[in-house]
Amino acid sequence: MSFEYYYITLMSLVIFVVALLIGLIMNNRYYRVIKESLTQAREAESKGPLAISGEVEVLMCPRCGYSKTISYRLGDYVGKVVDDKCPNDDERLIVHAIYSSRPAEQSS
Amino acid sequence: MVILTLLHQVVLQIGLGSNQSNVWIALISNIVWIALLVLFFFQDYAMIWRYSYTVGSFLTGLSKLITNNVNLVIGHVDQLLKSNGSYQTVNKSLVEKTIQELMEFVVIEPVNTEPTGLMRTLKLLVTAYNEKLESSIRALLPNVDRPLVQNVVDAVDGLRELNYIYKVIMHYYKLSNKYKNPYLMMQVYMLLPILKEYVNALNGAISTFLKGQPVGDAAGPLTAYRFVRSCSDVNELTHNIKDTYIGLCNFEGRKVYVIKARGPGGTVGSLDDGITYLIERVGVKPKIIITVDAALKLEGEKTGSISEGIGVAMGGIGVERFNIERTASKYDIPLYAILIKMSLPEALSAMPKDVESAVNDAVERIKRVIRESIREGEEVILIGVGNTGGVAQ
Repeated sequence: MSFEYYYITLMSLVIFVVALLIGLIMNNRYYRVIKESLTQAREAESKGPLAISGEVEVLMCPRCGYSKTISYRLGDYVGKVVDDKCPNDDERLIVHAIYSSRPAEQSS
Repeated sequence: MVILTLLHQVVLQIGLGSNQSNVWIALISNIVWIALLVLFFFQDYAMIWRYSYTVGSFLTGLSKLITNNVNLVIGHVDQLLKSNGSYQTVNKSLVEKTIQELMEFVVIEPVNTEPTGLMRTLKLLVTAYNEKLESSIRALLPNVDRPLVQNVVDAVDGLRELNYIYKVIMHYYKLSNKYKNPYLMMQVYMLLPILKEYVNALNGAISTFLKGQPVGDAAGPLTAYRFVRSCSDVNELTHNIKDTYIGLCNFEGRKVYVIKARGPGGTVGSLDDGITYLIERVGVKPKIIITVDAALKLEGEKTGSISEGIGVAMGGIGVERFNIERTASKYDIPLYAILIKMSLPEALSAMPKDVESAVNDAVERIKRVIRESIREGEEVILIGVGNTGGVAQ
């Protein structure tokens, strides 16, 4: 084969590979998968092993302001006086907040 | 003609080739060009197939989602009945039948060509709808606590919404296929990203409501709750307004009347009736009415950011907002609004940390507004707007 045909074949292959890469990057689904995998890795690094994740509730002592964060317990609500007691003054704790530490689900 | 010309070129190029490999390369090259040309002419059809496939996949996914959520609600009702010890008295098929019927329940919009008294009619319809939902669920759960019944009511309301979306999209999908009209399908296709977001939000909301957790929309009631906690001399006013809490507290010498939906069951209360009761029955003369509510953020705005403004911060179909505006304008009371920004999925799913943190900021802003606008001894009304599921008073 002549040089021209080698050149055309090579250039066609290069253009094809570049187009494929652009297609993969521009495609929303693959972009999201790549982005999510990178974000999750970063979040896992920053949070550390001891952080409570998911749905949590904050219990607070109405007298001294002592607070502790635990995982959400079914049936609890903000303002409920729970059985847990304050280590400082033995007062029963009140549910101060219930929230999710996960971001809300975005559109797929 | 174009194809003939191309074929002629192919023959010419084959003839001009110096060896066998050149002939094949030329042939393949021309086939590719012809294929591209054919695709160019048929791309409209390809797009229609793509739209149809995407909308069809969305409908299949939505159908599965609805089935899962129906099973979730039925399972939850079963669990409540078992924990209550009255499982034997209620038939499981009756539970399924009732939930299916409620999902198909419709509210017919009132005639709006004659708008006089339209808001009153809307209020009547909304109240009747809420009562019907609650009485149907109450019949299934006769001895269960009301907050738990309210949580199931909210979940069934979410199911009904999902079912309605499914039926409307299916209608356009079938209609497009029936009349071979791609433009109906294209419209649905273009709306799909927004619909997907809303469907995901509702999906998250159903499980959150069943668990009795606060959703993002509970930011308003949570702000009212935390404000009351920071005041002194808190008293609850007795009244007969359904699902509504009215409290009176003392904040640095100012009398603050706090209105919110009565929690921890999922309800939005009758806040407009609360305002009317305070002003017209109790004789309160507020210097200002402050409303706090969750508001949908624009793309680019940060979740948990707060805006202040004039007016009534309240979503929904506008009945309660209209009534509050009318009462305020009748007695010449300024309206002040505090908005906690969040996206739709965040408003309907479990409350995110950013919104929970923003509530503390909102409480501080309310205190600042009261200090700036109200002198000691004067009165002010604070309204925490939103679904109070998971937030008591």
